[in-house]
Amino acid sequence: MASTNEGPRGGRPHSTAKIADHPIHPMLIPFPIVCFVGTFVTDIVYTRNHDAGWATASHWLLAVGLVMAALAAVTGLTDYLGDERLRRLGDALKHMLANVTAVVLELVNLLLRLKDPGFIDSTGVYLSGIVVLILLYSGWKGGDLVYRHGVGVHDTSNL
Amino acid sequence: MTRHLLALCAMLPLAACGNVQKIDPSQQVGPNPVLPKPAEELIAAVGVPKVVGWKAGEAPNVPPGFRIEALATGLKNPRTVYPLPNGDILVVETDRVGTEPVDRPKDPIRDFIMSMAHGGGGAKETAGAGGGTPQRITLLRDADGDGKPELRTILLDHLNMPFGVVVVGNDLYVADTDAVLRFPFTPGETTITAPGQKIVDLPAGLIDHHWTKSLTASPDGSKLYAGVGSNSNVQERGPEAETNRAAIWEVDPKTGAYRVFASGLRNPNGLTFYPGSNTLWAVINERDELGPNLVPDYMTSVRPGAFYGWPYSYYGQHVDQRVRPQRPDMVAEAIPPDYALSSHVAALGLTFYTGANFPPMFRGGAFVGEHGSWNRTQLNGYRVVFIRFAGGRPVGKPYNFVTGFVGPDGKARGRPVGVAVDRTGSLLIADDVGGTVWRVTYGGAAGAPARV
Repeated sequence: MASTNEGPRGGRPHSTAKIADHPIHPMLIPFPIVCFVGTFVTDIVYTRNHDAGWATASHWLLAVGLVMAALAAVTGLTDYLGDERLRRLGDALKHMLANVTAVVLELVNLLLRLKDPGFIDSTGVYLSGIVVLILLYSGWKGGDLVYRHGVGVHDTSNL
Repeated sequence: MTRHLLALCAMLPLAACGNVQKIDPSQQVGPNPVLPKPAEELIAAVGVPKVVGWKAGEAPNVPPGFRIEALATGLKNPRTVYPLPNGDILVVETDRVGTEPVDRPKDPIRDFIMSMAHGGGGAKETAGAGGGTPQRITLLRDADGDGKPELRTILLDHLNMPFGVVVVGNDLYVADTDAVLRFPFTPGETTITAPGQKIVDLPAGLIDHHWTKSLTASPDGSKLYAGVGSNSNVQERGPEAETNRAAIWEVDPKTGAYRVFASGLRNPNGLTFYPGSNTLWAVINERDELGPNLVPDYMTSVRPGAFYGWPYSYYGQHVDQRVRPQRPDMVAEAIPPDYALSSHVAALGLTFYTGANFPPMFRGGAFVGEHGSWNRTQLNGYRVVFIRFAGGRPVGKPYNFVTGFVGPDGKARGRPVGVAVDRTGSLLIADDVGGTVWRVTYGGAAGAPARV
């Protein structure tokens, strides 16, 4: 491929937050994705049986998901700001805005259920479902960044 | 990404300010409190004063004509004060052992706030002389009734989170958090070495959210009444965790048989029979996190078999939409309490004035110890109020009787809990974080205290 022969400035957008050429952002994002999908599942179970244990599971999944999402956001933003070619990609902006939306929704989702055991039924389960849909979109856009634009892919990786 | 996130987070509380409960606490006292709509806050309001304790010479404020002096200082978290007919005064020094197990992500935050409010400065243990959590009953002997005890002994030690105490004849009953115990006791004794005999187990367990078990005896001494608070704010741990909780138990001290005397009482304390009657009264801490002006705590006569709403409704049939499952059948049975004390005051102590020392308006009236709020930014409570009674019923609005537990700097010197009237007709107040039992006497030249 032509692009593999180009120098650093003209090659693929690189990742700034990385360990031994492995970008950190993709290592972290499975955690919030699994936690938020899991929240949707445990929310559905809770609305069926009203067993407080499932509501508790949702609380922890949301809290851990938010912490890991914050870490993923730091590395993602570092990458975004670290390479101008990355900032020029429309897919990068869409990926970021979708994820910010998901995280804000989940933050509200957690705060409101802290003091209202009935919130999961009335609103929480729907919020959790909407976030899963957003994650499908933002995950797809993240895939575009790596598999189409080669963000963080080493320029000599396919030698 | 984080920049956007922070900006959005900063805007969220603003978006949540649509429903502010703009009413004054004075509209929430008496038989018909104003009840606003539940607040839709994103984050529950929290305000607890830092505890600094009393400096030498400092004391709470009392109305003109009254005097307040420390009966005993240097106590460790005194929560209940119980005068005996011979002039001896029992003081229950007690606290929760450890913290509630972490069940949900908000629990560590709650534990931190509560430890701030108990003088630990965020540390786990309550500040006080010597290590460990107090689990004992101290006896103060003031034989000449001058308010300066000649003797101070430890009557009983190594209890398990005791709170309620009552003496019937030659039996001393203690309500630990997990059981009612009976000790042989002849008034005049200064230590008890005999082991306690368990009368009945009380609900405790790992969580034991509201752990204080208030205790009193019927006027004829044939029955005991124990207050058992709920295991959660609004049943968020499920109905199973609340079995026989949020209730007042009636216990037969001879057999240990018990029944739920009244229920739907989220956290009942200050159990006291109205003098000369068979009517049980109590003060109840109502639910949190519905806003700064919901739900008012209350004082009520306790009707046998009655259901007072918790968790499904409050003040009769105001449904709490947060509760799962919803129970319209239970709401239909809920009755309203007698007398609101305003929201989040945390009423923990109740006594009726049976002495002759205070002016006539106080006879038969109620003193209520209000430990003070945490779930509102403007503090409420942190005082002892007085409520007049006529014909065995509360009348009018409460009076601020003992105030100044929170100084003008917004820091707490102490927080009142249990209240009692001693044989000289003086009012005794257990001040837990202040480590003090206060004694209020009347010296003549009355002026009515200010209304709440």
